[in-house]
Amino acid sequence: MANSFIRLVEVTKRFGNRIVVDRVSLDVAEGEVLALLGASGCGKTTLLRLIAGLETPEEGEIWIAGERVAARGHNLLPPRARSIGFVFQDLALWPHLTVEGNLDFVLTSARMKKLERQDRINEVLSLVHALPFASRYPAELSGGEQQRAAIARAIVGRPQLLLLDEPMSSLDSDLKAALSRELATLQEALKITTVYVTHNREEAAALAHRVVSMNGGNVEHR
Amino acid sequence: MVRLLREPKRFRRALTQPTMRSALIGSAFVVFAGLCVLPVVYMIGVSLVNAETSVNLENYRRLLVEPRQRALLLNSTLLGASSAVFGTLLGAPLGILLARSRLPAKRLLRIALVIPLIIPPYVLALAWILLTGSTGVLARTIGHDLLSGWTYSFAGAVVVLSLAYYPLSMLATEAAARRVDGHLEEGALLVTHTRRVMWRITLPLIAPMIAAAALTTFVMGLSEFGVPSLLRVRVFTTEVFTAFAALYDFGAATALAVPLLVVTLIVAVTIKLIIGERFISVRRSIHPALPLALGRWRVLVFGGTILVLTAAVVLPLIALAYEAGNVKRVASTFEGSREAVINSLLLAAIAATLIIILATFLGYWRGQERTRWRSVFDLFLLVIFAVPSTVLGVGLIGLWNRPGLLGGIYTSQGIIIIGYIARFVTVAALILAASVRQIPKSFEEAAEVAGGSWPRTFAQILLPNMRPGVVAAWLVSFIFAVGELGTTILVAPPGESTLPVRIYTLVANSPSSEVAALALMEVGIILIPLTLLALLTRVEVKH
Amino acid sequence: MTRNPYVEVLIAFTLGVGLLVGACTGRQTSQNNESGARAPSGEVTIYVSTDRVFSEPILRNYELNTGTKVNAVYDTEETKSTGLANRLLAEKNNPQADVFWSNEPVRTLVLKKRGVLAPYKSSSAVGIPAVFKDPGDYWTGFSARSRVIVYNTKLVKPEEAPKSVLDLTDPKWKGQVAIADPRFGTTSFHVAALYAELGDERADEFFRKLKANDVKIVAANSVVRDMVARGEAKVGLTDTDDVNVAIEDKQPVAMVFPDREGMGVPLMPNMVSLIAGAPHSEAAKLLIDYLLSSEVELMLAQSEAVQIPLRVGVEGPKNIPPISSFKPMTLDYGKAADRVEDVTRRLQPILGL
Repeated sequence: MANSFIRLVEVTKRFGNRIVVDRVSLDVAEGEVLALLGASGCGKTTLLRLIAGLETPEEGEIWIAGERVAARGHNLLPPRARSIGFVFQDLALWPHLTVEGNLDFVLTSARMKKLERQDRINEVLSLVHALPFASRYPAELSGGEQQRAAIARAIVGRPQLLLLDEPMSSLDSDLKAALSRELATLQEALKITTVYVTHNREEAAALAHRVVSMNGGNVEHR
Repeated sequence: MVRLLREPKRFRRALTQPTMRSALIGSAFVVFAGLCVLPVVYMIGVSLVNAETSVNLENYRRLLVEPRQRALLLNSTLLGASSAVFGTLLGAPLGILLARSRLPAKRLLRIALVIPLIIPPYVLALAWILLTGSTGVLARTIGHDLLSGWTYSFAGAVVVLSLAYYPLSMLATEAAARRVDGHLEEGALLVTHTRRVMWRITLPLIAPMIAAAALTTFVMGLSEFGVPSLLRVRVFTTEVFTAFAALYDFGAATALAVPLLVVTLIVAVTIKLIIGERFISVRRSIHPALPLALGRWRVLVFGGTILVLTAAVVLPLIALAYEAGNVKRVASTFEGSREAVINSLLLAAIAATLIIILATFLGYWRGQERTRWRSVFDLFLLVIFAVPSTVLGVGLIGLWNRPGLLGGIYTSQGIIIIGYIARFVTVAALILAASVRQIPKSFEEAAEVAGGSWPRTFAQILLPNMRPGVVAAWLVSFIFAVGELGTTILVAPPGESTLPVRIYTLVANSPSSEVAALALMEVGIILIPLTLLALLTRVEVKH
Repeated sequence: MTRNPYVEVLIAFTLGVGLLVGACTGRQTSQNNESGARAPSGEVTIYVSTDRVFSEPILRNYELNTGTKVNAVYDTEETKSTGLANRLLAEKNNPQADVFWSNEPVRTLVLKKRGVLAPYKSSSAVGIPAVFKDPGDYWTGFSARSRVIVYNTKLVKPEEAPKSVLDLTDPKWKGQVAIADPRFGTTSFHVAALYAELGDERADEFFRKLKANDVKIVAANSVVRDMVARGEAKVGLTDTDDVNVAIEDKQPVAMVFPDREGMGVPLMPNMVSLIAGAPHSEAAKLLIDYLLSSEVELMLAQSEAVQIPLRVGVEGPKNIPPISSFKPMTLDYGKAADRVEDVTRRLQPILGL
């Protein structure tokens, strides 16, 4: 698979004696949306964190965009150099910064100039319909609004890869459906390679080009 | 970004996060070891070597062989434990009240409730003797001696120390209680009422912070010397002082401090086993924490708060003011104190700031560490904190008083700052570690993924979320530093030094009226900048 | 967006205090320059355990008259700190001090024994009796305080006040006697002196009786005086200067010089010594010469410390009997000091410390 954007080769992750990810091999094509489906504790979140570089695999290799980023128990590239957007399960919006401030941190980290930053922030916020609450703090947002803010923060740096860890687990079903549609549209527009972790089969089917199930640290391709 | 990915090797060295992170944390540990641990190690070295400079365990062989010493150690332990228990029983509820309820004039109340921490404990003890001693205000008012038996007793010492140290527990509890995720509490609110939620959900969540404050209080009660000696309670600390002041034997004094350190270790391990290591899952103010509606308890709770305030602040201050009366000499004594006041405030402010810088890194490491070293580090911090100030002071002299650069620092005011850091960085690190543990790991990870360098992540993401802890740790370090006497008096260079040293060297033999007046002034002098600081700093969570 | 308000406040506060200090010290330096018109000729460092209120004016006076800058570190004999003797011992390998001025004999003798002091025979010590001088010149005594019995004048009539420390075991004082912790300060000297004078057995017996009489053992000499002044105890053992300060403060206390007839009054001279390896030994000797002058004895006598001049010719403090009018306890200070450690250990079980 020469065109695969993410490639995992026999990746294993243990926590103590517990094997959480067990010799997983997986390929994700460029522009593909892959859903990782599985019950809680099956290792899907850990797999996502391995791709992001937040965990180090004990064995196996991880390749992103043709570059080997992890091998032989070492991360070769730190998360910040992997060009990733990540939406955490708890969203991890920084509570002391406004929505804009959250996005701005990403852009100043990339040393972008101020004018450029403001344009980019406005562009992304309007894309996810978050402009109206740009200057509010996370604590002042509703669940759906927080969701949008988190997604905006994940894509504002124009990453090559978007990783979402059950981003909608805390939303009600109406909101979930609406956001799913928006996310699909967004993906259509941005064409970012995306890995989406969920335990909800419908959600997975609605968003993903391909669904992979995980069970007991193993992936079941279908 | 894409190009960056294609040339990883070039960027790897510059970008690999652990490098910057470990370098900063590593240097913090090196500084900590050099300033705080080395003097203690040096003194233990002294205690192990005899006059012929060969290793000798004689100092340790004599420990606790006399039943007298064992009884004293038990007394000290009980005094520390009781002060910690009662200090927590007073402080923790007040902390929750300040964090969660709508009390009138809350800011002012907070400042007023912190005052006992500023009054030197032995002055507080003196105030109570003036109030309830056999010829005190109470006895004179009702015509016969009612409470002097209780004043000069173990119970009296416990009361004084609890009243002196409850603000520690209060500040720690408040900082923690502000940051519990409202979701966690609301979840429980569905099935039970608010007070039960506080008991069963909120309290366990903030228990580690309360325990840390209680342990700090325990150590301070354990090593307290002034209050028990004034109230004629026999404690083990006197043994350490006897070794210094009557026998001039540094080795024996250090060896005698070891039982205190061992007791600290045992108590800390016990508490650790009971409380355990909890990760305090909070998403700060994503959902505001549950407010505490007092309802019909309102009057009672407010009355209780006023009662504590009366016992801990109002009565002692009135007693001191009454005793001070109209003393002519005080004016002349204080005339020349300007330099000492400035020295005190400046040195304490510099030290508190340096302490915070050092302690945020130590606290961060402790807060995010997942191996068992974190517990070892906790215990280590407490034990270092329990080292008597005099032992530390002599250790600092031994290390710093030598020709060259070190001697240059030793003969300057810098040595006082080093003394403050060595004494109090441990407490600040404990407070800050607790506050790091309240920050979800995902905050840092999100910044990491977003491309923030570690120093930037630390300064812009982590530090702002540690804010209540940073403020609390700075205040506690500042207050402790301003009042520090034991180490300062040993290392202070010639010339004017700090206010406690000045007051102490001036009034040690003065009548209690002068001591009272000077203590009042000391309280005022510390209180003014603190009040300004408290009013300038918004402790409230931003919305 | 990236500002940290609390850091700003902390920085602002630190800077604010800094500015304040800058302003004040600036003013102070200029003041110093005006007053210090005379160019300073050298400097000298002295560690002083005589109360700062009394010693500071004397050192200031010396500074003014000679132009030598005197760096002083003060301490007191109270038990809340462990005193300058410990600091001198800790600094022994790299001495910072030139002169040690002690307000009682014990610490000086400990320092002599540990090799911290150097001999110096001052020419200005003329007139001071030989008993108050070290045979090897490691220390020279001057103005003395005394251990005294303090009593509450409202509760005790002058004629009823005890005349000897041995009277304190009388059952009529049961529960009414206060003494400071005998392991520290001048009380430790007094106790060691009693053991030297009475012999071990009689001294042990005395303290056993004192304990049986419910003696109150308190934190410090000043606390003894305060308790007596408040009437929490009727009588106590403390130092002349402690009592005098209270008398000047119009508190209801008075003092008795104990054992004027029998074993003698326990006098405690100030002692001044040169430090071995002193960085400024020549300046140190000049300062020692000054401290041993009649002028200083007179100043200390006229101060609130009411110190008794050891020279016969110097006018003593009013209300205090001159040294010629009573029998001082005949003491070998070296021997008494040698016993402090041993007596400390001996007394702990007897007094239940």
